[in-house]
Amino acid sequence: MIVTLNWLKEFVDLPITVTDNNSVIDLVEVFNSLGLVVEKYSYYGVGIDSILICKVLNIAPIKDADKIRLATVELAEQKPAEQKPAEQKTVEVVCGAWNFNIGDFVPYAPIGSALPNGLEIKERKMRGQVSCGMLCSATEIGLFSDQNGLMLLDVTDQDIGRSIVEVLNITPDIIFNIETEGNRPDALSVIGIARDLAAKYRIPFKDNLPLDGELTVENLNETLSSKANFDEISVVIEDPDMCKAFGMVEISNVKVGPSNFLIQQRLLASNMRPLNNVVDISNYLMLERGQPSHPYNMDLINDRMIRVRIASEGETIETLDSKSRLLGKQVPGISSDTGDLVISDGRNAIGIAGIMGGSSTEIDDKTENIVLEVANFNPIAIARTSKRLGLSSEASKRFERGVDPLGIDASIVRYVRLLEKNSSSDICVKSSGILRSTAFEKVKVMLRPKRIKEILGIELTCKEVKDLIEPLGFKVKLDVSETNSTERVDIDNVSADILDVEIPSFRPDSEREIDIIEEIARVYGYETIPKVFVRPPEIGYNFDLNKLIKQIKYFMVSQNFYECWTPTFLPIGIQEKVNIFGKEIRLSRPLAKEEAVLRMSLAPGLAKVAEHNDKRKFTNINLFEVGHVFKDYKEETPPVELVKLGAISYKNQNSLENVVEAIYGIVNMLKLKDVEIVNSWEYNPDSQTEFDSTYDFEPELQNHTWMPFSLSRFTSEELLNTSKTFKSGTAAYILSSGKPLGLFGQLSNKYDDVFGISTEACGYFELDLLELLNADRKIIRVSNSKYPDTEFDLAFIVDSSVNALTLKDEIESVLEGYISYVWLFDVYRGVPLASNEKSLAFKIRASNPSSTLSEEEISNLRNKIIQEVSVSLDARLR
Amino acid sequence: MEQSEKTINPMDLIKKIEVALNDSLETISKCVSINELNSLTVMTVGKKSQLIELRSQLKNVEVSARKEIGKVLTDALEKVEETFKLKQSELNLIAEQNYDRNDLTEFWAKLDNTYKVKTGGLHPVTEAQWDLEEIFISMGFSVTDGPEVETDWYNFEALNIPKDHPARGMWDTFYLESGVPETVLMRTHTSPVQIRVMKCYSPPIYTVMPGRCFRRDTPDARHLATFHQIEGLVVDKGITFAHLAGTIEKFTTSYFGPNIHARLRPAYFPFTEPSAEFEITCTVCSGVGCRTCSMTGWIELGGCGMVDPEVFFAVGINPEEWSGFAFGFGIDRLVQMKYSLNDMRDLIENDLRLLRQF
Ligand SMILES: [Zn+2]
Repeated sequence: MIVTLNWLKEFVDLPITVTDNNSVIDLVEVFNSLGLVVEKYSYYGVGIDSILICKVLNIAPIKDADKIRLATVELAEQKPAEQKPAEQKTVEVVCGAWNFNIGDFVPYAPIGSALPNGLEIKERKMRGQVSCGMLCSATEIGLFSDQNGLMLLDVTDQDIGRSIVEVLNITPDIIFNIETEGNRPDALSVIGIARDLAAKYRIPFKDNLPLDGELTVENLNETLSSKANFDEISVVIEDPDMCKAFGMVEISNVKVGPSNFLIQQRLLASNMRPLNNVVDISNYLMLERGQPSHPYNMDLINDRMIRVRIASEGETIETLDSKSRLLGKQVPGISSDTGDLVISDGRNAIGIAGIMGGSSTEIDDKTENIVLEVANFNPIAIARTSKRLGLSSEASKRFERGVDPLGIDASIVRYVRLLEKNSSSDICVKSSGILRSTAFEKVKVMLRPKRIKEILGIELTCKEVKDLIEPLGFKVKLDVSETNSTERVDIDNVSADILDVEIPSFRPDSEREIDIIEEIARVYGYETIPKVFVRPPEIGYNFDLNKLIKQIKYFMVSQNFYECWTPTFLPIGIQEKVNIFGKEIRLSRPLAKEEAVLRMSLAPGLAKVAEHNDKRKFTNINLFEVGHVFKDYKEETPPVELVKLGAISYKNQNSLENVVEAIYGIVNMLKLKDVEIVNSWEYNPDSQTEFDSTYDFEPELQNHTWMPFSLSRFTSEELLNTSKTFKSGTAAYILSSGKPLGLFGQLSNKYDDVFGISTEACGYFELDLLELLNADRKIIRVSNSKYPDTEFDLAFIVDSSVNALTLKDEIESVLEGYISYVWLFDVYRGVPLASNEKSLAFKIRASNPSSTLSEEEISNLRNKIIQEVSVSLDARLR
Repeated sequence: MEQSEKTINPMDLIKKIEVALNDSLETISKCVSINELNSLTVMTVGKKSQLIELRSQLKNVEVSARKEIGKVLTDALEKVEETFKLKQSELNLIAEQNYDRNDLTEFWAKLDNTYKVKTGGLHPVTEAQWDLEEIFISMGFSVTDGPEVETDWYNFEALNIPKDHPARGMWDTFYLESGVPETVLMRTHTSPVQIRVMKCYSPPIYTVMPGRCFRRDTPDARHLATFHQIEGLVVDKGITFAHLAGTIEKFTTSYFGPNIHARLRPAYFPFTEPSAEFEITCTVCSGVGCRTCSMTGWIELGGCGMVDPEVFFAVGINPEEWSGFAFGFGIDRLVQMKYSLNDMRDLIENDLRLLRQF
């Protein structure tokens, strides 16, 4: 919303002057403290006293120049009045603008003058041509224009050589660009902003329109009815819910022409294009008072009647922007329990109510008789139609927020007054009036001063409350039930438990006690309210899942992995292409087709990042992400949400080993119980412990940990599906106490094609963090031996189907009772072994907790191991 | 012969001792390397030293003088030994300094190899989130979270933003093709977690909720369609706007430093009343005014306000009994400020050239 200091001063006598910088800074602060944030402000009409008006006499090309031309302009030399008439003087100016013609009047900055931006005008030579001064655009002299290029002035020959300030009657001003909050319709008007400032500065607010007793518009009376016959036009409100009030004035003998310079400048400052007096004043009125209105060419209204009605399905109208609009059309996703409200004449719609008028009754140069509509429409209806048509206007913005239902009369009067001044003819107001389909009822709210203290933490007397909000238009009275006598009690001297507050009609955003308390706080000043730190009764905790995430992220970083943040949304179909199966969950209106469905795995995102960095010549690319993924496998709404840790290791010496090491580290760090690694081809979920129940987090306070939502678990089918995104021969499940935590291995070959990575050089794992959080932990009983360890190697030849871990388990089972460590240190396949054989070499380190191991004992252990594995796994010593 | 030996003049012996002492001291002092010195150990302080040899002549001195000469000899021996040790440590030091030199900065410089990434790192957003969590936990707030996919009720309706409310325009929403149209969505803020907390637990509630949020906004240098937010919620007896202002201030000075303050100015949010935007002292210019803060000295950080009674009604909390406040702001924006990041979109590119710098 644009307001200017002078415009505001028409309503409140602010102690601010354009030249007093401190007072301006103070005003900006006051705006901000009221929640009317000043985005920027700029000076207007300042520093242009030396700019003169000149007339273009000739335009000539300049040799070798195609961007600039030479203009010869006329400037009358000013002489004192008693001397002979002004002498003609011409100067030659080089000019780069192309929008002007011979005979135009334009602003001229003479040599020695300066522009508002500080540019000093000197004699300049361009392409060998001397330029004596400068012809100016509106922007260059801080004024507004809808022209590109020079500012073309609507003046006459008498004004040649005179100061632009004097001729156009320009008063120095400041233009404020105010960001207004969505709930306050009144803040979209100069009058509303002025009211706020009046309250804050404690200066009386005065309307620029003396309403009381001075109405000159004839027959401006209200009727509680949905129908009325004006002199020329009859009006009927067919849907009273959609239109609470309809004001109208019929004006004849109008001479359409330009509106005055000030009105045009203020419209332009507000990014509205001046058209003609009839339309401009309607717009000006909206900016000033917040009341949209619409002028119709009375002679083009068919059947001399106006109907406020719902458009029929499929009805069309051509709006003022020359576009055809289809009304009543259903748009998916936009509820349409009410239709589109239109203003129509006896035959067709002549305007979309509250949004935009139709071109059939548009005002043109020849229009002599007009009808001005000043109505009050249902905000929700306007919002819906605007959304449905994708058509928003300055008027619709205001109607959506709620326009003052009692402001119609003042707006009509203001319109007529302004048109009187801006029409070269004597306009004739034929008839006017307001139809009110529903009587306006004042809103009264009960305000408890004690509640102010409870919400704001400050104590205010009744008088203070009154002084704060009455300037905003609220009326504060003692509650009638509290005064037990008919005698009038002076509010200034009492304390009351309840006050009655009457809400002004232009503040539909205020309707509850709490809203009034906000108004009190706003005028009182948020910055004046003391700052008190809360003292929570309990200490603060992080929730368990978050603590686990923190532990894991630190661990991954220690393993040289970088944390990434990949998109939650993926391209349609890409997941299926890399064997991530499941019903795609689509966004209904994605921003881009690359981000259109919810991810079911972190793998595609991480693969893409690996490729991105590979392209940038990185090696040793290790990346991880902790993020939510989504599954729709049970046709649930909303879909199931899982928290995953995904990690990719790419182009390292041994990327696959990297990820196995990382998982090994996590499992050990968390002391997970009964960890198993099962190769995907050996995995048969049905033989595993039952785990496919979906569980809910009970919404209860557990160990001060708040998890107010439920997350789901894998189903067995789901698990088998998940493994398909890996190479079927290079993938394994990791389980703890029989429950799957996730998978690791090499991503499927399909990633090579889809993401341009080489999956042979890559390791990937994905773990379910909720499973990890809920996995059983080992009960740790520490013991150590005082006696030395013995270390020996055993290499066995086994069938290649025997898993390393199975053999290791067998060896360990022999060593029960000893403190032992068993690990694989070499794997060998090849000659002289048979093709279906492999050699697994283990190191065994053991000690006896109670004595030194004797040679004999060691030898016994060796033999026992060799015998055990020979029996159970058909392993023979190499 | 034996006789003559017995009659060594004590003065002669003392003279011999002095000569031997000076001799030894000179030999030691002339040494230039520790190896040379070590090779002279036997000659100077060892068994074959001149002084030790002279000790054998002591028995040839008349008994009455033996004690005195013995002392002179002992002193001389001590003196030599002491000098030897001093010299030894002196030469050792020199030797150490002249040892084969290894430039350890070479190892370090190798690690700066752009292409072979040898370290890992947290995403800057995670770091900021954890810093924030830590501060709020220390202030007595518990951390919680909720799902990223929400229903319309949790994300809007319970927050006093019914369908067709003009304020819906404040949040451009990604809806899912799931269930009834426009009922399931990507959360546009972490506020639905507040609703979940209030529905699940009874007051007093002191909690913050960080998390990923989504808005259907075309990303630009300062906005992302996917971003991170942290919100806070307090519900207790007697909570006022003064507490809100105090808590924001406490957080601001704790997180940004004692010279950075907060101020509130009126704003509008459907779920709070009164509502405020909160601004902090510009961290770039410390409030003097610069380009970052458009010369105001203040930077807008987030929104806050007293929980609207309608929100309390929606979750079944009696607003006459309990009151509370809520606040929220973007984490990514803090990261952008902290690292003077020109374009926020860089945060989601995951380019190691950038990630390595945080
Ligand atoms: Zn600054």
